[in-house]
Amino acid sequence: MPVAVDNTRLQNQDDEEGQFLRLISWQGRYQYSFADAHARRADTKHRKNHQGLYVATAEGELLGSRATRNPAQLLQMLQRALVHWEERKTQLEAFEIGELKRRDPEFIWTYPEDGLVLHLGCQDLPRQVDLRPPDWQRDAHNQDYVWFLGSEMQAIVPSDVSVGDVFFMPEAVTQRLIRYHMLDCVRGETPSWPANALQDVELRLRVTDATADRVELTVSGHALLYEEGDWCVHPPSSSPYRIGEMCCLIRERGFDAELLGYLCFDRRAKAFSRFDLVAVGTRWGGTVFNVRREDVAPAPMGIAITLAGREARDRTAPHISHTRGSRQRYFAV
Amino acid sequence: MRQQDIFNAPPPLTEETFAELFETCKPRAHSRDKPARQSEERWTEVDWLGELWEGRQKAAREGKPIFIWAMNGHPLGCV
Repeated sequence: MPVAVDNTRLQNQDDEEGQFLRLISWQGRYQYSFADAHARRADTKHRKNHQGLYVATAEGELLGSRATRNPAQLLQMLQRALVHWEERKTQLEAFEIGELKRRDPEFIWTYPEDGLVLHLGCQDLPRQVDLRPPDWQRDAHNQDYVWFLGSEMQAIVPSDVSVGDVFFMPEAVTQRLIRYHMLDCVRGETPSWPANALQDVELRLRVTDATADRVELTVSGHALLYEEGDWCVHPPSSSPYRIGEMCCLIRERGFDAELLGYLCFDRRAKAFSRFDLVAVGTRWGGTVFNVRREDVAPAPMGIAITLAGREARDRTAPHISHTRGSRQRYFAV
Repeated sequence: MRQQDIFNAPPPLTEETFAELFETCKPRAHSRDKPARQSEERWTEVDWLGELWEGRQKAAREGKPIFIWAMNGHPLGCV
């Protein structure tokens, strides 16, 4: 049963679901016995990383574990896990597991069924002078999902607009898009922008066509984002120092972008049938986990956003959702 | 920061360049683009469940082991 989960959330989640992940990861990544892992499964203050690839029974008996990006190593782990499955001591027959009795309220994000859900992609753009090593970093790309509530979506297009009208994007929509999604996550996750990082931001909408059925709009604007900090990243693998022995400090990060997009609002369905938006600009600096240690100089980056699809994975919550209490911040801005 | 200080300037974003830049940057795993765009995103061929408890329930009901891909960030979203 393949399950893909956000470890950052689950390793801190204070409910049975979080406990189940930790029961398995203490055994796998940290090689606890089942009894010791079971005894520590409720601990949410452990400050340990539980990221990994695991195979287990539905009762939490570990069958395999490996933290690897190597497909051959993963396949080997899976094959061994299948052998251990034949020798398992638990889940010897099918059984029912009920619904969670309680969910950690700090991590409840409900898919906005009547809202606007967008799918975001980001990657570096071609460079005139390219000093990056010829490896995965040149073709790195990432994705995220963007959520707006139904009321927020409806506020984007006023009911009485005419061709030629120009107006600002609602502040809540602009702030959501910029603070939580104009991010350099090309090579890895990065924190959202604090409010004071928004140096100069503007998004305007212009009505290009309006009928009884639909309104077509162009969105344009810019965003200058800048933050100073002390982001300590791991030393390179070639360094004589190990993780924890030294820091490579990054002192700032920024993104200076132009934005352009084309929207179509279906007046009868009261929903967008097109929401294509591009941000292109210069990013620089980095943070702890976005793998920019040797690539902090200004360089071009692009972000594209479009309507999300309808598959199960398109219901994945925005990246910020794994931070305790983030739902209130995301929807309150 | 002045524009002339930037060694690697970004491409212009205009009505003329929009379509190409949109195609370049849009999510490669976009589910409406199957199968052409996703051919390199082989992980999308697996019917991943996105919630651990749901996976545990189904594994118990169907008599199967659970394979957990646990990343910092959601593997089906941003990691």
